[in-house]
This record gives sequence, C-alpha cells and structure tokens, in this order.
Amino acid sequence: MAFVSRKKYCYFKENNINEIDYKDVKLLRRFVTEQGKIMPRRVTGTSAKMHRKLIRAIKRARNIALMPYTRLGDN
Amino acid sequence: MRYYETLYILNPDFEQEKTDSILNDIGEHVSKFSEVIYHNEWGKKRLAYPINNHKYGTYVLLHFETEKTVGLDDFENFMKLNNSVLRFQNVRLDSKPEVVEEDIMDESSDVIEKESSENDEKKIVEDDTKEQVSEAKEEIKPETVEEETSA
Repeated sequence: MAFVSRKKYCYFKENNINEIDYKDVKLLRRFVTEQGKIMPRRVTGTSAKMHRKLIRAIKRARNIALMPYTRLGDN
Repeated sequence: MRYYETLYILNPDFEQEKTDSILNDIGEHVSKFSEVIYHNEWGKKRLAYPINNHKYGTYVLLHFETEKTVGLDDFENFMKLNNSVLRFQNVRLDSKPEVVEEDIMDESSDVIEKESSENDEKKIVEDDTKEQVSEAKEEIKPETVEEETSA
C-alpha cells in the first residue's frame, strides 16, 4: 500500500505569527475539535514551539470562559 | 517596567450604574500600586460554560504597568473576595500592550467569521480523517503479519 504523503505546515510560521493571544478565540477555535479538545500536533502540523504557546493560550481562554473545557451535545 | 493584563467577568445582572461603580472601585484599587493604561468594558457576552449559574457575563479588560510587584497579591486577593467578580485572570505581558482589539470579541464579526472558519475547520477535519485512516492501516499491518506467522 502506498500512501501519498501530504505536506504539513505550521499555520503560525506561514502567517508570521510569533505570539498567540488568548483573547483571539477565532484563531484558537481552529485548533480544537468540536468537543473542545486541543488537536494534536501531528494533525495540525503546528511547530513544537508554537504548539506550546497555543496550548497556553487555549488553557487561558478556557479559564476565563471564552472557550469551553468540553462541549458534549447540548451545551 | 512590567505590564499586566487582567480580564475579569462581572455579574451580568447588575445595572449599568452599579457596573460602573464596581469598575471605579477596581480602577482605584489598581491605581494605588500601579498605573492604569486601559480599563474598559467589553460588554455582555455569553460564557462558554456557566459560572455560578450565570450563562452570561460582563467582560472587562484592564491593562496596567508597575515597577514593583508589591500590590499584586493584594489585588488578586481583592478580586477573589469581590463577590461581583465571577472570575478574573491576571496575565503578565511581554511588551507594552498596543491598541486593544475590541473587535475580536464583537458578536457580529464573530458570526461572520464562524462561516469562514468552518471551511477551514472542514479542511483540518478532512486531514484528520485521512490521518486516522493511514494510522489505522499501519496498525492493522503488523497484526496480520503476526497471524500469518502463527498460522
């Protein structure tokens, strides 16, 4: 079985973003699943450096109720 | 100079006057030990999850700068004990805060962005499923090999 490898790239590197603001929910929403879980790096292709910053931002947004910790069914 | 950002949620049931007076109180408390750069209301927003049975909250953003860290613990304590504050978060900033992006939280732009971001999400989801499929196949591979050898 041959698999066509597809190019993964870091969204933040492509767009020259160095800092992630936890208030920017629009941006953060791209990196969580429908249930509100943080997507793994192997799925999003985010660089390790930015993924750490992303995690921090998402967790801050969750704490201040800008983003859900979890979203199951009707929430 | 250290820069800090505090985002806090006030009880949404308060009238405008009471909200303003609380904002004043907090502003006064902060200005005791630091210099307030920005202090403004974001407005009423739906919370991502209920806090103390409140579905909505009045978000207020506060930026301040200070040389010493003396008053910070006191300030956090003050916020904790303040019953009208549902939640607060104090964050240290690396650089001086620039013009505040209020439109980030704007409801109307939120809706428009949802549509455009949904497309992006779909792309990511598609990638996601592909990934899972390839992984699943990889997982199956060694198992079948084992079966063959055992048989």
